[in-house]
Amino acid sequence: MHTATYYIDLLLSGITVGSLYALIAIGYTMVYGILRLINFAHGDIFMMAGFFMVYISATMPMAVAIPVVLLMTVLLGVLIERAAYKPLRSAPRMSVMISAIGVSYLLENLATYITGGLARPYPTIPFLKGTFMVGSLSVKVITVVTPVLTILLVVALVLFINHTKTGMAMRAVSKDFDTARLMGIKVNNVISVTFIIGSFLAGVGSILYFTNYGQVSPLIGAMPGLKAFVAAVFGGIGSIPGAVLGAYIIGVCESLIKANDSISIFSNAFTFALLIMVLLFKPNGMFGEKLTEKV
Amino acid sequence: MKKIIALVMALVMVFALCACGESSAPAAGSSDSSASGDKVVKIGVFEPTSGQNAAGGKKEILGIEYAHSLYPTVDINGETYNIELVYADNASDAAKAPSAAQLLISNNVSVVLGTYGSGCAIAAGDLFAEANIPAIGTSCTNPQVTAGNDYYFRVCYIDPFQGAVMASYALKQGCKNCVVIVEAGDDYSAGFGNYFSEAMLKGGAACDTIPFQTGETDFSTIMANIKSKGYDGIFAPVSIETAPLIINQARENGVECQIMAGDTWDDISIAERAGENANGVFFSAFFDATDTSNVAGVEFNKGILEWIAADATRTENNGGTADAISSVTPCGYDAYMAAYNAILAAQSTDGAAIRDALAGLDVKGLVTGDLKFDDNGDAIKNYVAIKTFQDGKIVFSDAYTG
Repeated sequence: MHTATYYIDLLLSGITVGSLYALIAIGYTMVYGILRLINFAHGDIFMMAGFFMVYISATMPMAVAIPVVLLMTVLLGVLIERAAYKPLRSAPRMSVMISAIGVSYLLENLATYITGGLARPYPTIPFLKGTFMVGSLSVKVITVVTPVLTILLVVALVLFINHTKTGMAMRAVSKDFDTARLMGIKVNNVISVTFIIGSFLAGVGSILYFTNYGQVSPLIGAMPGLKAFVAAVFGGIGSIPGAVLGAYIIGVCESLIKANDSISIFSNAFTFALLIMVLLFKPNGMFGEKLTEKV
Repeated sequence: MKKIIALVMALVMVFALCACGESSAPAAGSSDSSASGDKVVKIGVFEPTSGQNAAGGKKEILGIEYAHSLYPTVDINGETYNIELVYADNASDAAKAPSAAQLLISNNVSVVLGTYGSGCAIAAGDLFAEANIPAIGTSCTNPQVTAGNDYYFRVCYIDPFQGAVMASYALKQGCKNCVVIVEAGDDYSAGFGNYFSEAMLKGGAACDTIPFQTGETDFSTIMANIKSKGYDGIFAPVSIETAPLIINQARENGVECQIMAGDTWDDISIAERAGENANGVFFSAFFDATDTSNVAGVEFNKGILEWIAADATRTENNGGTADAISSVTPCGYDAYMAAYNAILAAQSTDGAAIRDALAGLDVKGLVTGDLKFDDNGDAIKNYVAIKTFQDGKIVFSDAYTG
């Protein structure tokens, strides 16, 4: 009884949401690949990027504000690594993860304190706003820009990792942290680059996400952050193509579930049930490397 | 390196101690004044100042503080008592509301004002009743707030009434096949949506319900659904934060039908965030400032706007404007006035005595009309203002008196 436009609508909405999850999921998966750390503060870096834009765009034109916001997001990511993770490099993994949870709460409460707990309207970015018509289907510019930009960034990232010296160093560190260090790789620099890339993509994701939904609030990072984490696990944490594919699958599935009135409220439940299933039956995800225990 | 860190930590601790000292200074001041003979009666302000209803909670606090600035003292048995407001943030979360309520109870407040959002009021209601502290609801419209609770009162109308009014208005606008979008698990949203759809069905129209989860930001799938099924009206009793998402995504996805909502939408930030998309959206409200037949209301509106304009923080809490107030602000004012009059009538700071005084209270000429409670503790109200958004502003459209 539904028309074809209806299903195209659903698919487009799922792909947009999936792309946004993908941009965040890459940050999770890369940090995990290098440090074996689940950076729970990542969703909140995404939220902070949103607030940076709210405040910075009030004082400067958009063409300047966008690079400044991305730069500040990157700085925040690197700062968090230096302040909260680097001193714990030799500590048990659990301590670093707890530190990450601490950073997450710190950022959320800092944002609540500064904004007074209220949602702020996100500034309009002229070339991302608006709709156009394809036949009888009204399509938002952002729903087209988001997946295209995401795919371009992912391709660039994969090329970077496979064809540059820094990329090679990253691969080496993710294979074996200590041996890479013995081979003369500056591990700390590699880790910084990882956080730079992760935060940059979270910054881009935040611009696309908040342009789509129009407002930023202090706790908004938590849910997309968790979903992106599930996407990263689903794809095989540590694998970039896996995280992207996982994100798209989750985005489209959520969209289809939400379209059905009788099960629509289970869309979040589905995502987290998926996490449990993956961990139970295929802990390495779709593209995860099989870990061989070293004795 | 370790020494530097230790030094920094020590400084942080010293600073924290200083900060504690400063913040406790006013409290110490008030205990001094009580020692010198000034007596204090405490009124608890149980409102969300963070979370998705923070904008509404802050606007109600404005009404409460304005009333407090006009009536800062009360005479009990010939002695003048200073009224002290004690604040607790329920964070718009029914799970956090009990601990906020506990904070007020352990501060020995005599009466509690609030809250915005029925979920938090229901979650805290039993605690107040067990502590024999009466609570006066500001804009919590779900019937469950006062039902079976002798200590919860409220100054606003309730959802079955509001739902029926909105449904009759929707029918008048020609809505025959309506969809209700509600936040699953939220007492206000689900309850009000249900009363609306019951009234629509009784009126001979079709009405479906689509639930969404708390914190949802993407409504494009719901909109695709609505477009595909060809509904001619959307009723969305949702929070202020969710409202612009629904309005914008409806229009951007090509849903052109009538959008309607309840009392929560009387908030200027929705008009600003949804801009032109919000034109023609209508909703119910407790109060209309342009209604000149309401003498107390006109006077209140003038006074509070001057009071808000005089202070930058108040202006920010009012949504960044000193040109107009939301209709939950008068609810805050009226709740304070109800507490004030009840303390006067009881001539006591004892919670149980104030409760009895509230039950028999009859105050004429408050901002949202005369105030008298029925057996449930609900204010007897028969006035609903219907307002609409027009180019970033809120305009009065119609009034319903039943």
